[in-house]
Amino acid sequence: MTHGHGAHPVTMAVLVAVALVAAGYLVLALRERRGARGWGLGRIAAFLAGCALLVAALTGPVAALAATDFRGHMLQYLLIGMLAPLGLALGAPITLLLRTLPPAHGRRITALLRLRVLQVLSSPGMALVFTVGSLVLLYCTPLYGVLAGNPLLHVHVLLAGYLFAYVIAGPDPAPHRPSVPTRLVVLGVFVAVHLTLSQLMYAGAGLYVPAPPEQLHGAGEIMRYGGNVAELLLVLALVIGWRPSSGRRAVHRG
Amino acid sequence: MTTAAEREQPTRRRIALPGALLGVGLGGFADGVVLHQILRWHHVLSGAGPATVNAASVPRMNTVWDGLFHALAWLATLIGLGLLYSRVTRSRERLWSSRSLWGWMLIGWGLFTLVECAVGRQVPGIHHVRTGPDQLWWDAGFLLLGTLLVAGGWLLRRGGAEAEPCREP
Repeated sequence: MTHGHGAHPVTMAVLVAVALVAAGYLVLALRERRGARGWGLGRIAAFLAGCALLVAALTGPVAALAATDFRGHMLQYLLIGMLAPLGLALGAPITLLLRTLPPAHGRRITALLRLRVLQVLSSPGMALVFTVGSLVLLYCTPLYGVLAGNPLLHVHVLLAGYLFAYVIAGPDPAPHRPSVPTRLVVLGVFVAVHLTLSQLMYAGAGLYVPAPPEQLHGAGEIMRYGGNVAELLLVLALVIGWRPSSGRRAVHRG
Repeated sequence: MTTAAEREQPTRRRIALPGALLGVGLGGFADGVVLHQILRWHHVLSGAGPATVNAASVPRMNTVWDGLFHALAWLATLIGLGLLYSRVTRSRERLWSSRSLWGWMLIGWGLFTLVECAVGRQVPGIHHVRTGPDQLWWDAGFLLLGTLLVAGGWLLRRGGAEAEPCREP
């Protein structure tokens, strides 16, 4: 227990996985870049930035702060659950796999994307339940006291954040991605719950988080302003990624 | 068949509302983040006391109002984007190089600034731009800024015909 921070085996496994995934992405992306279709530097930068944010959140000063201070926990949540997933999703890893793997594997991935389970998971309602839904559950019930500092919580937050960024903005193919207006409404709900939680935290009221008032206060500010930045980046990604013309309507009006 | 000019005219007007809403949203974020948070000049209700007091001692109502203010900025941004998406259905990739869109966004931003100043001046208890001995000058400066934004946006919008989105390439 006196070995300092970051020694938990799950955290170590996550860090190793992040390093492997980053290396694998880089190899495939550089190979694709030399090919005829190319691969954007922006995507590579986004994906590697996502990986770097994950490492920054799980090691060093942020992890050390999170072990003792609720503000550190909130910083970790912001990095692992909001900013890193956006970078990872913008890196379009699924598209990269589809392009570089042999066709047989590619077909398997496409089949996977069309699975009923994934269809349900990537529905807007579920994306909200996994992200802000689990935040409400975590902070408004005694659950935080049980799960605080558990590395599996980080894994959940990362997966939920990635799912959300992928559904809302991601350039990767999603057979059942909702329409842009629906996604804007989903984002609105996400922002509203986020703002409410951060307000309650700032005021130190209505939450089951065993932390001193000044920590709650600071965490509320981090959640509100950091969250706003992350959400604005998400909106920007959505706007950049919306299709030039939405097939059927354009045909009708043309 | 309609001519290109006839088709463009309604399009230019269709962009007005979403553009202005986006401008209001951006103005809200700029005000909320830069003035409220980074510079800490004012909160929504900071007219009730000095703006430089420690955040912990600011009345709790203030944070509630700041939260509502953020929610409004978000609402304007998301509704603006939704309208923009549904009204511009062709060549969306050229949307962001449209002068009329940016013009309307500046107009929205300017109107937001003017309304904020007017409310701050007229309703006691709501904030001035920067409370203190020079508050009249700060208010006047922001009124001027708002006017310039609206005027600049109007001029930008008028020159916007050639870069219009949703026109056939």
